[in-house]
Amino acid sequence: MPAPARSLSRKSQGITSLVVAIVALTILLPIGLLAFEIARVNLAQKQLRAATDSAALAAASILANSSGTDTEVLTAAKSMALEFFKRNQVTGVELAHTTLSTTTNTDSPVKGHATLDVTLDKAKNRIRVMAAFGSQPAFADFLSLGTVPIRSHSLAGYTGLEGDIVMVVDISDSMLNATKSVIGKRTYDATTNKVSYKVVRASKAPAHIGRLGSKSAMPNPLTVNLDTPLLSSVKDSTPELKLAALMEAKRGNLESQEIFESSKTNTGPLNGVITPQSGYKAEFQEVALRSSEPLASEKVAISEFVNELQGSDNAHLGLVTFGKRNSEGADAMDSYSTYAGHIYPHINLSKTDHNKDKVVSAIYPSLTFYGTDTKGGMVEAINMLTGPQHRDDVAQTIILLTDGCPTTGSPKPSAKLAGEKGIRLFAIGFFQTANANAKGKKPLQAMVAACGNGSKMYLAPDLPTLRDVLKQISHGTLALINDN
Amino acid sequence: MGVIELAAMGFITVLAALISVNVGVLCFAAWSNDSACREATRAAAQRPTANDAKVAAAVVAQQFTSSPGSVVTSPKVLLDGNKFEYQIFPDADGKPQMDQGPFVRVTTQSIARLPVAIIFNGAKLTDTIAFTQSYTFPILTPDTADADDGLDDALVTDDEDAAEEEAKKADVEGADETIPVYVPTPEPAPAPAPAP
Repeated sequence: MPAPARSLSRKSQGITSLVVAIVALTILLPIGLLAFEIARVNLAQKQLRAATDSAALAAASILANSSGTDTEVLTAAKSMALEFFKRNQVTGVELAHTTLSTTTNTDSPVKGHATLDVTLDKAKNRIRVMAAFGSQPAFADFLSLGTVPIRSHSLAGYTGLEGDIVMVVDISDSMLNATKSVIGKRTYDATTNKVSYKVVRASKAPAHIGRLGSKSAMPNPLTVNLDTPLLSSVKDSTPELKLAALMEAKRGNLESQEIFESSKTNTGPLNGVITPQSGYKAEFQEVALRSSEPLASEKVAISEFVNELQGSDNAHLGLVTFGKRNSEGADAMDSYSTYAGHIYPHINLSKTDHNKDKVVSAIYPSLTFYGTDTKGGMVEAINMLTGPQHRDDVAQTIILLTDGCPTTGSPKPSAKLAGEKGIRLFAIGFFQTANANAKGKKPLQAMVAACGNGSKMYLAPDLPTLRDVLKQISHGTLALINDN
Repeated sequence: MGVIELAAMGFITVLAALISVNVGVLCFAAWSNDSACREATRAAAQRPTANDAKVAAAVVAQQFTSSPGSVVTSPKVLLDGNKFEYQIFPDADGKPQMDQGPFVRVTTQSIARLPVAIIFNGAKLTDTIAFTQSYTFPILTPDTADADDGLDDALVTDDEDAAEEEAKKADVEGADETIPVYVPTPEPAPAPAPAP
């Protein structure tokens, strides 16, 4: 090739290289910057999502503890969501400049500012948080770009308690200890052929009020609340007359005219005032059951708890009750144990039936039985949850409800066994007194610690608290819900 | 191709490659640290005590391992100052006040070591950049329950019934007792007839 031609070729190649270099700078560099911006926006999106996650969880936590109207709950949820949203940051920018809005889908906040909206689905126990954040690309000024709105939303709520659930319910005698009661003395004087009545004590029942009277003749409970509408014919009468009526009803002397006559109760202050009629004794027992505290409150709370679970077909219930013995080991020698067929209500788990109505029906008429066989109740519950009627691949939960200390052995090994079998334990101390709380709390703590698996202990000194605790348990776990 | 053009091309190519590698490392460090911080905070938010929360956050953060060649270090949870905060707003009894919004704040840090030191920090050449990220999440399971085992003391108490004393003495067993193995639970027997 001639020299001028080679020179021209080199110049051509040099120009080509220069063009390539310029193209590389003018095309590849912007592409690189664009890739960087996309990565940055994605990171901002992730961080905004984390902020809305935090806000949604905080707002949803309101649901567990609020009993207000929808408006009140939503107001509280918005406040909580905004507080947590502001505590976070996106691309290093604090979200302190955030305002509530109902148009986050179209909002275009200025740089570093954000808008937040919260909606409530109370029926499903869910809260949705939506946010828009004004993000400015790193090279916005150079490229003359404005603020880019980044949006995100999160849904949080309670998953609901599901799986196989066995309720282990304490029906020991101390479940009567908070009953308003009266103890009366009935004396028949054969000489005068009169029956007299005397109030011995009217207060909260002593611990063993249930033992008053003949064990074989009269089942628990023997306590009664004078404020209940029992025997309306004497409700507004004198305390003595009321006491007389209650005692006669309790003894069954008002069941028929014949019994009434033979019991000599047609004498004394009742004569001519009360007409004997069938059902008095049953009414007494019915009212006494409803008035026996904390047993009655326990039943109310359990019924409400079961109703809370009605919406979940995947929650299958079992019931174990325990007093001196557990459901399976009922002491047949105890004359109370066969009363009305209600000894230690027991509903086994079922693969096909959620048992909710059965549990409510079974727990209501239960009476009380001496000591506190927590260990026996736990073992029986474990047997249910590992027995032929348990379901595979579902969560297994024991809900223990007790008001006192174990009296028949340590329940800790049974809790440990439950833990080894993957069972979670919710232990509720329904302690009515400071003494019971101080002593009863420790075994529950030990059980929860031994069981593990996310087990928890709750203390409920009264019915409202017990309701809240069971409501909290029925709501299940507070978690983010994937709705994408 | 002339030497000058070749040199210019080579310089531009090498520079672009180095910048790309450095930007890639920085992006990876930022993403990794951000993910670690978020997961660590969520883990801490599910723990009942501050110490548990610290441990949980540290364990989760360590699961985000360093990149090959330790270009980006494994994220670490920072505990100094207000970098870690576990606030339950305790009442007079030390119990958490849920309406106050108990929260945990976790801050993590990753160190990115750039393959090529092209970042100047003042007059001093540096090849490391620290990425810190902080998240605040609500504490979901605050609990002041003491997990100590007070069973030995509790077992000897009984405010149920004096009549149970004898049976109780016979039945109370130590914590190491054997638990009955599973025995199939029979279906409930028909309810017995009421007592006369």
